[in-house]
Amino acid sequence: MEAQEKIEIPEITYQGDDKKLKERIFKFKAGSFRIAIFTIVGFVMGAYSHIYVSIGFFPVKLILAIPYKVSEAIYVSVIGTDGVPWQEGEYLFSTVFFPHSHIATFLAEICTAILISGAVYGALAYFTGDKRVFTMQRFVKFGALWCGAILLTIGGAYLVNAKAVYDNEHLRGEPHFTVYDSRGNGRGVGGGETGQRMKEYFYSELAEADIYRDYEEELPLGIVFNDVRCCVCRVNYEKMYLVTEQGKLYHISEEFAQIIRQYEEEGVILPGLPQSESAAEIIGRGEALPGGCRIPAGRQGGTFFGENITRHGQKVLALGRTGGTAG
Amino acid sequence: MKFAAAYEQCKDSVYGYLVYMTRDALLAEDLSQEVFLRMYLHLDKFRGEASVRTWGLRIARNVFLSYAKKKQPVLLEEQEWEQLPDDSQNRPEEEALKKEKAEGIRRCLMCLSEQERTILLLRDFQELSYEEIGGIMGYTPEVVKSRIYRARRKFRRIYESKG
Repeated sequence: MEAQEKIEIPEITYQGDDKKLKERIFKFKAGSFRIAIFTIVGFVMGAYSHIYVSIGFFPVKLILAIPYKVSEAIYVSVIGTDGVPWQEGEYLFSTVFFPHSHIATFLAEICTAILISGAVYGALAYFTGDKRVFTMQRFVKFGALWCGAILLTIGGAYLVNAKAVYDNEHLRGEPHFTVYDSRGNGRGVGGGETGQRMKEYFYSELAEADIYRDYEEELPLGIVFNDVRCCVCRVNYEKMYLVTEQGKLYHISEEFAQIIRQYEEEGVILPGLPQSESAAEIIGRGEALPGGCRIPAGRQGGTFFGENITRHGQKVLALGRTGGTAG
Repeated sequence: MKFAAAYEQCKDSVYGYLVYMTRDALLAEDLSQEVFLRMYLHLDKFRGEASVRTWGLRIARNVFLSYAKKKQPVLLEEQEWEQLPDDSQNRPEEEALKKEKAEGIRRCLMCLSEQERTILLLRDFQELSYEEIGGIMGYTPEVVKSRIYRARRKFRRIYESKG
């Protein structure tokens, strides 16, 4: 084989000039710059697309609405609205995307809209470029990259949501409660001593249970875990159980059930109050409440929602219904 | 590496390869520009594992294959010997002979398959090593050797019978 003589193929040299090539490269650079600018503009549009409802000027409203609506169509067509916590005809958390997870909602409502908007505006810039440089084949790659990024974000949102739902079901995390009465009035309990005590009571005897449910007597209890996950459980303070959205039953402590009962009957949240005595009676007398709670002497009757009361020398907030009978 | 330097090193090799593969100077020029645009776009990914010329020829082959598959599949096949009109009367004898020989070689090359043509061009026209050819075509050096042997034999058989 080696001994075989090579074939004499005549030399060919390139005779043309480089003008066309330089022109193509220049057009590519200019086109790429235009795509980058349009994409950035798209990102900004996408980031603000969720405010389209509040825009009055129709053309702007339309431009902003497109990425949001596309994103909404993708998510809602797949997940529907079945998973949204529903109470008394209103959404407890104002989102139709992933109500159980703020992170998943952020990915769905903001990130996906940003990517969709970037892809749409980038594609517009792409199609205005030189057809010889920005060919359909390259556009397919360009489009595939965007689709990949969007699908990854959607997948990420679903994963984050699935994890959130799982953690919610197991009641994991640092909870903040919103207690509801049977009339649908809700009151959020923030941090501070009240929140801390509620949390302690909540976890003190929490255990999975096999209890026969009494649907009639159940009250909603909104819980936000670690400020990023939400769920609406149902609580029966008589039978001392809590049901998660997925139907998992837990036994709750007497103290926690007492808080729910107290809010239902008196519209006040004062953790540590004994069952034998109502908050209204104690507050009415101007005496110290259990656990060191007291309100200023002479304060009797009337509205006391948001009243500063002192506990262990520190001011804490007693939460109650305005205009309620308790106050 | 700067694009200008890469372009200077590759332009004749890429253009020559494409002229022999397409037998159309204008088309070869157009495809060459596509090759150089790709080189420009991916210059940052060029790691220097092979020479710039080998890299450019690999891109040229990909561009040619993608063009031929879509637009002219006939360029991938062995073609019939093409009889051209004799236009050597108005030229000096030596130049006419040279042109005739070059044309004969081109027509012979077109009678080979795309792989045989490519392997011959890479070895005998571009003078690449077996390893470099193997890198472009995805063969081992041993396979390259045997393919070159068979391609040359086939080329000579056609050249001697038709030329």
